Amino acid sequence: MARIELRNIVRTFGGQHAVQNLDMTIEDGELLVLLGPSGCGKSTTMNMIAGLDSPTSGQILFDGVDVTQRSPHERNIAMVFQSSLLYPHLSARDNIYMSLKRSGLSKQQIEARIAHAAETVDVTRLLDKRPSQLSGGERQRVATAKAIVREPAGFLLDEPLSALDAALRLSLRAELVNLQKRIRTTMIFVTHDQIEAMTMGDRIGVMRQGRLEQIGTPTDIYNRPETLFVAGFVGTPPMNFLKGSLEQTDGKLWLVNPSIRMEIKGEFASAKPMKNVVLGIRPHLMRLSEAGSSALPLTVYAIEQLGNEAIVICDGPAGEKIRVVTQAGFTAPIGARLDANFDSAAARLYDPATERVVATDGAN
Amino acid sequence: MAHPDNSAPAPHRRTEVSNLSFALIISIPVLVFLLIVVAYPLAYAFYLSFNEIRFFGGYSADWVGLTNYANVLYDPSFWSSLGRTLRFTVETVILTLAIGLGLALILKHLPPGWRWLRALIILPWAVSPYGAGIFFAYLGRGQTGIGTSVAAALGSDQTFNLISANFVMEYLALGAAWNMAPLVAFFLLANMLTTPPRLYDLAKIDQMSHFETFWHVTLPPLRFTIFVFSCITTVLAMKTFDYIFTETQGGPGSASAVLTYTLYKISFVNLDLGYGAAMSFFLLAVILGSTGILYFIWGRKEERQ
Amino acid sequence: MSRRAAFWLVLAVVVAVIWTFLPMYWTVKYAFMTKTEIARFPPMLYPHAPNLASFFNIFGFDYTADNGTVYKASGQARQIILGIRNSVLVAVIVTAVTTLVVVPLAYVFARLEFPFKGKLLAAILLSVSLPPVSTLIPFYTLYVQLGLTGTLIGLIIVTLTITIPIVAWMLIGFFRNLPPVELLARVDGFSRFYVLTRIIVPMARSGILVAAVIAFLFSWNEYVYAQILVTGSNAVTLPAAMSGFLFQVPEPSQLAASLLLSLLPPFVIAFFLQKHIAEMHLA
Repeated sequence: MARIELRNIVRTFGGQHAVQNLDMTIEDGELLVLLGPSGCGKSTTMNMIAGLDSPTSGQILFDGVDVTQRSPHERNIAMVFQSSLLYPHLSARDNIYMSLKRSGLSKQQIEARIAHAAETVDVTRLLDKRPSQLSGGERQRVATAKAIVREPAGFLLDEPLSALDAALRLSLRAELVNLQKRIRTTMIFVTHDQIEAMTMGDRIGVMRQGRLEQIGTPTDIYNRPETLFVAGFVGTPPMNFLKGSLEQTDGKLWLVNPSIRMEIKGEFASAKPMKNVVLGIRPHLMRLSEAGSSALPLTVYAIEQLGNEAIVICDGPAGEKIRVVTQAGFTAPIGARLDANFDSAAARLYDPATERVVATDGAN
Repeated sequence: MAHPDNSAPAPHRRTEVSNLSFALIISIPVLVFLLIVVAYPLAYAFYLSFNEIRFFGGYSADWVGLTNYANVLYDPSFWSSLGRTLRFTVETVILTLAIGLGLALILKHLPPGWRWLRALIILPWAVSPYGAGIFFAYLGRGQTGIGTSVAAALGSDQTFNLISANFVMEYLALGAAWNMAPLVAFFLLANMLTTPPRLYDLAKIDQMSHFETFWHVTLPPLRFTIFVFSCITTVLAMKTFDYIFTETQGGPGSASAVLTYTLYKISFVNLDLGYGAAMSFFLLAVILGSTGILYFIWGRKEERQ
Repeated sequence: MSRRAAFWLVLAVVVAVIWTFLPMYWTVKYAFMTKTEIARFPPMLYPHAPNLASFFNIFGFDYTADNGTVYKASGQARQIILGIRNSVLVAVIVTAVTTLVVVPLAYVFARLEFPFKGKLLAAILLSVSLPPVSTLIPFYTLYVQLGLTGTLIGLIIVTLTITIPIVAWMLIGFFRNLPPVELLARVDGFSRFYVLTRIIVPMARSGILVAAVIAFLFSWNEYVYAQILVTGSNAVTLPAAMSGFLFQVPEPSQLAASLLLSLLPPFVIAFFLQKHIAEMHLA
């Protein structure tokens, strides 16, 4: 178990920046999820933490000790690779054993550790099977046992669930979180699946084009996304965006576009007027309502019934798709006119030029 | 393809041997060996090709510049041999791939209890080229061959020679295909078995004919393998010497004297080493040129997919 | 399967089996026939009185048939016996050396990135396409100077120039398709040599086995170099020894008998390894 610090990490591949000026600290015993689309640098970052790749510049510290030049083994990290990679020619037991072969432990100690690790993830009865004889979920558990048997300083997982079917992912997700809380190890989990990130992480680091966009708790990331990218990437259904301008009249701030004029309240009321702005509002925070000047005129495009609620997907006035979550069983014909309303205090404002949240007098 | 060790120039890591030094430690001895035993003969042949070598009245080598190369171009037997080599190669490639494909289709449709037949069909591949030459020599000759047997069965008392001056190249190509097709069949079969069965269901729903199914479902996944074996078979057919040597010795007359056989005669019978060396570089150029052409007009298209 | 489909399949199988075995049978039947039977017109389709005379003769034994005819031991017997011994020796040594040398080489080329890799690979592939007749003369003159003509070591060296490039080419393709276990091994703290010898080699057993078989077959079946370099010497190999029955004094029966013997090892190997052959991936 260790506190892992990345200091100004840069990694270039033939002139291309894979990771740029990355600063990040993962606390001891924390489960951090690195989230981002493919090619965003999250796997490169993980490989550098593991010691499989070296940063072009910058430092990596484990508990304050610089390990930048150390091999994966010397860092005492454990890693589960994509598709739960295992040695195909070895039994599950031997695969787990390979993690300890270089550890200098005695035979009895190793056997005890293997037995314990196998028990922890419930693979004892699979120990004599080869990877090809295991199902995807079983392979994932064996890979986990192979990782935890080392009692690692850091436990790194590179999209280990991505090849599995949805039901299995769901249960393995919970298993991994449960395991991480029981053994209290520092864990870094890489994924491109925002639901996986939201459900598993103590904190989430969202990456894009080699940069860390935002790092914070799932609640933070969901409620207070710092950038347009994070706002759009996290959340199901995704956040709605409305374009417009910010105008100040009568000491009040207004969002104005050809179909709506709405007073901005709450934390963004103190923002400065600007010509171009993007307002983001979660579908859960919108209500279908009567027509009115502050209401958004919508045309029904499709309705998704989820049982406990319904998602109404609409064409907005500027042709954008607007989603509204409403009560289950709601029906309307395709093409019907609807109006939607929301509390502007719950909305977020972004500057499309910088793609960052609009500055206010408040905490931001 | 994703490389497991994707080391773009990574900063130095002290704890491990770098890719380059590991690669060098392992491959230098082999590469040096290959350099000596492959490059040396090549260089020596290159030297010979600029000289006239004489054995009578003591060994002598006279520098003649490009004369040998020029003489090759004016030598009618070079051009006729080259023609035979190309004819043999084209026919061998087509027959090998067609027969390989046919065998693969048969093997694919075998019911589970008959799979042992696969182990029999592979056997011609294990036969040496000189062995195949002997087999097809006896099979084809008028006195001993199957042509005469068939003719006799039909009531004739004539000999029927399959190794005739007009068709000897075709007969040779058939034997070469017998030798090489099983390997092609095995690789094509492995390829075919990876085609999802659902595609055949789709073809049925679309009411494709047998031929359309073959053309649109079976064949497309095989194209890369077919390309690779076209190249391999081309190189092997152009290099072939022992097979033709044991089967026809270039005969009847010189009807099957392909480039390699003509080269053998020039160098080992006429002992005209300089001239033979010069001609061998033309052969090498033809081999590399043909695979190059195959790659540029066909291979690049397959790779892009 | 419908009856019609079954009929066509059976027919196709019969044609394939005839295609496979008829050319071999036509010559191999001579091994069990006498000279007079072979000279019969029209050709006999099978030995009417099969005998093993040729098999005795090629090993230097006289054979007395039931009717009292004596078939004399072949004058080539010494060459054949030497040929079998030498062919086994050369093939085993070439197979062992090729495998030992090519496995690490192919591994490095398949799974590591390093400068000049593409050019070195092209050089290896170039040597696959060299026709033996082009290199024969230089080898011959070199060998005469070094005193290597008529020696096993000389033959082994030339044979390696055939087997190493072709086997390397096949194994590179195979190694490329193995899962990226180097990553696991680095996390587990193993050295590169350990990874190669203790992880990759056992993982790639079937591919290495096929590679070894290919090396064996190429060596066992090699005739062009042997014909020039070792014919008539104590280092003669089986194919070169056999060619005496083909060219000097034609002896179809003894030729067929020795050819049949020479085919047995490749057949046994191909028969048992056919399952693995198609596992080789094409680079």
